[in-house]
Amino acid sequence: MDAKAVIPAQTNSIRDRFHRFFFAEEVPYGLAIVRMLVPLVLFGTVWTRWPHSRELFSADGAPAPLADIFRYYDFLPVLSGTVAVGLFAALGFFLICSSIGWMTRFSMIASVVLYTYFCFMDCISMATKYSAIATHVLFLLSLSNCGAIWSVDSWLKGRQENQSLPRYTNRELPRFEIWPQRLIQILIAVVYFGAAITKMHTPGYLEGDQISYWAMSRYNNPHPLGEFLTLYPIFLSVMSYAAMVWEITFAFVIWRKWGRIIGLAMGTAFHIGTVFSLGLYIFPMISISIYFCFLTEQDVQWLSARVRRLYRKGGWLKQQAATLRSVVERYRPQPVAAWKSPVAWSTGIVAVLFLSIYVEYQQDLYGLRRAEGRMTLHEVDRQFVDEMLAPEQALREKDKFLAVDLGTRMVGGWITNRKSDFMVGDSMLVQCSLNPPHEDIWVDCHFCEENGRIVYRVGNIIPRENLRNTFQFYLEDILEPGNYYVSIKSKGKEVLRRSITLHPKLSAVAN
Amino acid sequence: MRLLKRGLTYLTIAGYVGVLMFGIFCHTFTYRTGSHPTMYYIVWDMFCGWSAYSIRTHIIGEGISGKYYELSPGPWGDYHPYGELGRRHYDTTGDAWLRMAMNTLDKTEHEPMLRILCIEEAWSKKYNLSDAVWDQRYEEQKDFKNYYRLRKVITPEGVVAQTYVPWLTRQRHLQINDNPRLIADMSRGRPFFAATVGSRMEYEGAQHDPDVPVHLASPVGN
Repeated sequence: MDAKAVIPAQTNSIRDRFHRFFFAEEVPYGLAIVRMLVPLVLFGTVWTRWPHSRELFSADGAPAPLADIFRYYDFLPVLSGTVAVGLFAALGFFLICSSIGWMTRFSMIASVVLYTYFCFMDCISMATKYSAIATHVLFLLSLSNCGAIWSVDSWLKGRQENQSLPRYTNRELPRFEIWPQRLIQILIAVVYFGAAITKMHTPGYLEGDQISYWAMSRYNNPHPLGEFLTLYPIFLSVMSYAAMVWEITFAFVIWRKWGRIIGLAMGTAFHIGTVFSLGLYIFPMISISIYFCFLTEQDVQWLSARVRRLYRKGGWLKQQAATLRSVVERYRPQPVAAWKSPVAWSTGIVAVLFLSIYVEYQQDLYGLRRAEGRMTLHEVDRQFVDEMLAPEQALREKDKFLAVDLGTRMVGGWITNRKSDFMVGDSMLVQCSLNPPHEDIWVDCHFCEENGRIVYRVGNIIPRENLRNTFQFYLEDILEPGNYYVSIKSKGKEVLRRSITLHPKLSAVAN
Repeated sequence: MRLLKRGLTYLTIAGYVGVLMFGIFCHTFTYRTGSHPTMYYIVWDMFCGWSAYSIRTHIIGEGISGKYYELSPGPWGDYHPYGELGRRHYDTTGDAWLRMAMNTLDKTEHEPMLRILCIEEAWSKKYNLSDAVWDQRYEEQKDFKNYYRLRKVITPEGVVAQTYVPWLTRQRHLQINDNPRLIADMSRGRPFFAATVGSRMEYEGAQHDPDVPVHLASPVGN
């Protein structure tokens, strides 16, 4: 045995720990999975945009360059329609090649260059934070050896190596320094930390107001769960706290075994939650795909041991695996000269370029080559235009108010037991929520009998920085059980009303 | 050669982590976050804030016949990037409205135009709630009300002739102006002669602090 293997050469000094952290060698399983998933998700976004690429990205359309917002006009050249269409299709080709690992390094570099360019060309519908994260990941993958395993490149290379090795020799998977993987991990931690900083900067985030308004928005895909959760703002508030704490702690706990498991499990749950509560689709797919960079060689060994055990036990699985292996071997190309793969790849690019340009030309997005001539504009209803151009209308009082809720218990500034049935002797809370922005506003709160007679009357000034005010009524014994209502008034107008039923006080019965 | 490679690796690691840290620093202390387009890639402001009102955009052209035409989406159809809404609704800054309108005019058959109007539509988001959710929280029927605000007037040649602040900004100004003492102070402080342009309560110039980044692009994280 080599002496180096017996005598521990590495100490626990910072230098050694740094060295082990960045330069330990592992089979890049995690990066290979990230390589397969992220470009595939991005390809989905490219595929849906391609028919509109002339309009979105070219000088023959209506691009929205990101740099213009930063007042860097003409920061990047805006390409002509045909070139943009061809290059956008080529981007799709490069993403697919990256995903399957064909000419991986070149495909990755081409993907990151073109993807960044097109994001810069359309800040409205292409550049979002998920695309910024994906750009970083593509860049880091292009520096890595993510195509060394589970890729077309390794598949082609494997055939050649198998022939050169003696029979029954086990071919070891290649191992590389893990620093690109570490940089992706650091990126994720920094992104979450930055997101937490944003939340700290955002007024109304921790109270749940921001999430509540987001859940009421229709900018994203449908999200019925989010709308439902607006009924429980305290839950949104608790989740907001949890998300922020998790985002901050992620960077510190993710490097240890259980911290990694818990951090990633929470992250996955968080991102899947945004699918249903906020209608986000692509962001969770990108985020969860990137999580695979935390996969270690030991994880894969542990998993493959489990699979092998299952494989030994299950005859069906063994049979299926053998079939699959024979299919793979059947389609594995014969040993090819080293130049053939790049040539085929280059031919593919040229084919995609010309084919996409031809198809787009035939599609004729703007209808410029139609037999019946150019398209005509759609007329807008005159009445609708008059409505839009009418003199400015003052904001209605009722639109300044979000809701009124009744209950008896408050947690975190929210009524948590919203109800309409009370008992004599209860202390009733009436919480009135306002929409921002609103002026300093006087709000009347009337507790009325069913016939409209006012029983109690209170009021309060709600300053412009407050979004809620809570009034309290003690439902005294003198009140008759029956039906009442609470009326919220602003500037003399009733804006919200809630009916309540008052029940008699339950007393201990002397038997 | 090996030494050079290792040196480059160290440089890459240090450079990349340094850039990420710089982004975090700028974001935390709001320092130069809008100074360069690449800042978009290192400032992680994923939760830019949501207003209480839904905002939509209408871009229409007025022909010389007095008829009005839809200029976005063009007659070839709309692109929906993140859900059911057309692309123009995600342009929160309105920077691309001009290009959208001119592109449509450029590609279609139409009568000569007098002007192009960009109009903002707003309504309270509570009316977006589904009926099932609404009925659990409100006793009133939905009383939907739209508010409109002219944002830009553009000449047929593509020159922005008039610009107005967004509807939400306008509401904020109105509410600040709703203070007699403040208005009186402002009147007293205003010079008799117009010494400075725009010495009014309502600020109609740039719609955001030039040193603070606008909430870039789409208000979505999708």
